[in-house]
Amino acid sequence: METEPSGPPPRIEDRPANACFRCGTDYGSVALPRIAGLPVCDGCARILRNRPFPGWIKIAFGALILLAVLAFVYNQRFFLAHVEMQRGLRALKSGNVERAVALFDEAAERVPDEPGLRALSLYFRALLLVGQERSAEAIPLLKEALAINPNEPTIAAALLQAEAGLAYEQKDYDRFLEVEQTVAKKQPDDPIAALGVASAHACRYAATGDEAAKDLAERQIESASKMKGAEGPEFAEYLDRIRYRLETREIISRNEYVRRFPNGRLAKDGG
Amino acid sequence: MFFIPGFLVSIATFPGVIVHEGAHMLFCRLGGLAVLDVCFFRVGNPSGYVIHEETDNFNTAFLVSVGPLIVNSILCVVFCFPAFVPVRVFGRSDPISYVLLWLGISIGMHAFPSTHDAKNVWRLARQQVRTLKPLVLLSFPLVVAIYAANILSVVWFDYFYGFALGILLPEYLFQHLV
Repeated sequence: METEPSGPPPRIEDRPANACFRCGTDYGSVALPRIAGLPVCDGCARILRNRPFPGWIKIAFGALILLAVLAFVYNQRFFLAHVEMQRGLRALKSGNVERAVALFDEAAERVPDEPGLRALSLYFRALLLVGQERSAEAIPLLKEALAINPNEPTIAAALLQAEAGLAYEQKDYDRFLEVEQTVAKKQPDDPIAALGVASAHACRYAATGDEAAKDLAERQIESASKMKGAEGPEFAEYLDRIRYRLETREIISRNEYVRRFPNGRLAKDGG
Repeated sequence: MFFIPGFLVSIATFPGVIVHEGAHMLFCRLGGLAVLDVCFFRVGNPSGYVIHEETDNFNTAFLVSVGPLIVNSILCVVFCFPAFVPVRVFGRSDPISYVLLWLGISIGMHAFPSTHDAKNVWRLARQQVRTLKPLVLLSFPLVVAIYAANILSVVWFDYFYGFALGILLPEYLFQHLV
């Protein structure tokens, strides 16, 4: 694979001095112009300076470019779905879950034969619904996503969370406790999961006034607070909501809590 | 890393050799240089060649020598692009996509000019260095890069170049520009 500038000249054999090296025509006493030191007639010089590409190269190149264009057109839906996925992930990073879900939905609709994409779309749509306290609507979506990706632990965990959310929304606090205990058993090192159990005990106390439930909640808070990772703002906010429940015996949703105390309860109360 | 004889690599990636020689020839034609002989592919060393007349025009000589770097790189992206999302992102396994990826990466692998081509550029660049023309100055690091690429081809640098250009570059662009 290399170019040879006036490299080894083609064999001239014993041709006369003014015979064209390419076509062999002898021009007698007429001195021929030279290319790379070789005598060349005008006609051959024109051909050499504008040497055409062989037909098979032109045809093969044209066919392959056509193939690439057709493949691009045929695969366009994958490109557009990928673009929507990338935009969705970016929206997710910036906290715009609704926009992300809309983009994932569009991507999944574009490539319906790609079940993984549908599972992703269902998963995030379900998370959005759980956040809006519509867990009952989220559960079938997560079940469908889990059927597509049965070995995906994040979907299984989200399904449990949705079931916990549903029990909470239905004020079935015994069931809420049961599910939160299952979650905590599956994630024994997760302080948020541990707080979930405390939250359920706190709900039972708020609903019934049972002091034993309050004690269980306090003990659960104590053990959760000692766990690694219990320092983050998410933990602090969740703990604050549980404490509010234990102090007031009023059960309010997270959205309502945030509405009442946009800067956190302690901040509003002046610490 | 393992060693595969060059002629086997050339056979497996023959479209890249053909495009490489085609690129040399294309720039010869554009520069008005006579092409005395051309071989687009053969089993041997070199696996292809273009014999053309010399020129004192640095720009023409430069483009003839580095033509494959331009043409092969562009065609590598052109052929890989329609296939990389279905295969790489969605794990589809349709044969046309695999053919396009093979074609694209094969072409990308042969993008770097040979050391023989680099020598031509080096010789002319040294003669014209006092002109301080940007292309002349650019040719010095380029020649070094060509030599480095040829040396590193024993550790599959040419393959990695094709892969990076055909797969990683579109992936990067999708992630950052979309």
